[in-house]
Amino acid sequence: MFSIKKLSHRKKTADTPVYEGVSRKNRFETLVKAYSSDLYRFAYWLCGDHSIADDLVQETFLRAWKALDKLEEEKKAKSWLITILRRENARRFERKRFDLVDIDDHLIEDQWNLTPEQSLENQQLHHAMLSLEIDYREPLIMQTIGGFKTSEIATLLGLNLNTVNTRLFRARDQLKCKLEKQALPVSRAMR
Amino acid sequence: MDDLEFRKRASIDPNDQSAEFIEKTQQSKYNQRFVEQRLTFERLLSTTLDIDVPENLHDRIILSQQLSEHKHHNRKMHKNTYWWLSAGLAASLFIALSISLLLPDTMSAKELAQQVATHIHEDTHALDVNMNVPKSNIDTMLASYGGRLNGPIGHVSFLGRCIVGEHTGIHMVLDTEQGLVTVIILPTQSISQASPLVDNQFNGVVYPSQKGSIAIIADHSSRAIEETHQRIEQNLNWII
Repeated sequence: MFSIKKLSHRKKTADTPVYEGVSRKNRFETLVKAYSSDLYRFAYWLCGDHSIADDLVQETFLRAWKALDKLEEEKKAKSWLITILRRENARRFERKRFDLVDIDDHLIEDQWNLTPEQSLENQQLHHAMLSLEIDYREPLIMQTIGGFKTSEIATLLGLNLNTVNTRLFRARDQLKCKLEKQALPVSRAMR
Repeated sequence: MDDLEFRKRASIDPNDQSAEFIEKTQQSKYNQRFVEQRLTFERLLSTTLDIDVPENLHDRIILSQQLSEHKHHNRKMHKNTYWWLSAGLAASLFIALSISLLLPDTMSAKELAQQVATHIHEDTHALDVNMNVPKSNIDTMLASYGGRLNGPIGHVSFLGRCIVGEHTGIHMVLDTEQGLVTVIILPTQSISQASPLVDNQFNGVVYPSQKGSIAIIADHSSRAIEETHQRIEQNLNWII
């Protein structure tokens, strides 16, 4: 096995998202620290593939770096980054580089803190999520991972509020139906 | 709020914190149970969506930004060159290219080997993870360069894109009998002959390939390098 000396990591600075007087580089690092994990999760549930999600997040932050001066307020950062990521994902389709993801090939890692029954339930819901149509999946992950209100989701997706509400309703409904079809042991949520 | 509206709102957002929704929830045990059922599912959904994020994601994003900035800076400097310097450079380049066509491309292979060594030193995280990468993921990444695997190449513990010098490539780590072996596929970087990669911490070779080049790096085991190179060349197929 290799025994390569690890490079030391630079100490992080500028924890508070105050932009006046903070260098561009520190501002960028603050954004990365605050949002990269959620952005990765969002990207994964958008495209269904870890490698593609990784690429999407990398490209998103590269573009964010170049356009950082356009971000006026920190509170708009999450929706701004999500918008960039969605555009990158759309470009992927324009370049005809969308790759069909075989859901069955996905190795879903067990979460160590779940019981075997919970772990099975988790895996089944994971598959169900990936098989959900993107029109239903996307608003759902915006709400759950992004923490956006329905009005904010409507703005981000360019839809009216009723459409967003209907899609959120159907998304959860369809997930429950898919779980039932997989003969999940009946939980309280299903009754 | 009527019952229909209440149930609809509970299904759209079980975590609704508006005063009227909360008040309606408290109005009856049925309403409380209705919301609790949806919140139970919501907790399961939340756990499922909370997938693991690559440990080094943050660092790689920063590194990508720094590399991008470095490239941008170099491009800006080049634009400021006077035209007569550009003409002189073009002339020198023409002469160098003419000479290089006559001589074997040993310098560029050596240069590539050095760039790969630098990249290995910078990208140490790849050796610390076990992503248990399925073949389909490798094919997905190869497809973007017009390639694919015809057969298995062994257990792949890491897969990711990388930047070596000015070129992008695919970085893999294979878990072999002789230990971890790093494979870097550079489809856009061609060399005319193989070159060793010498470092006090590892050994490797950059090989010319059907498309571009491939670098194989291992601990001090030339057998691991040769066997891995053979396996990759036998199974890597370039369609485009």
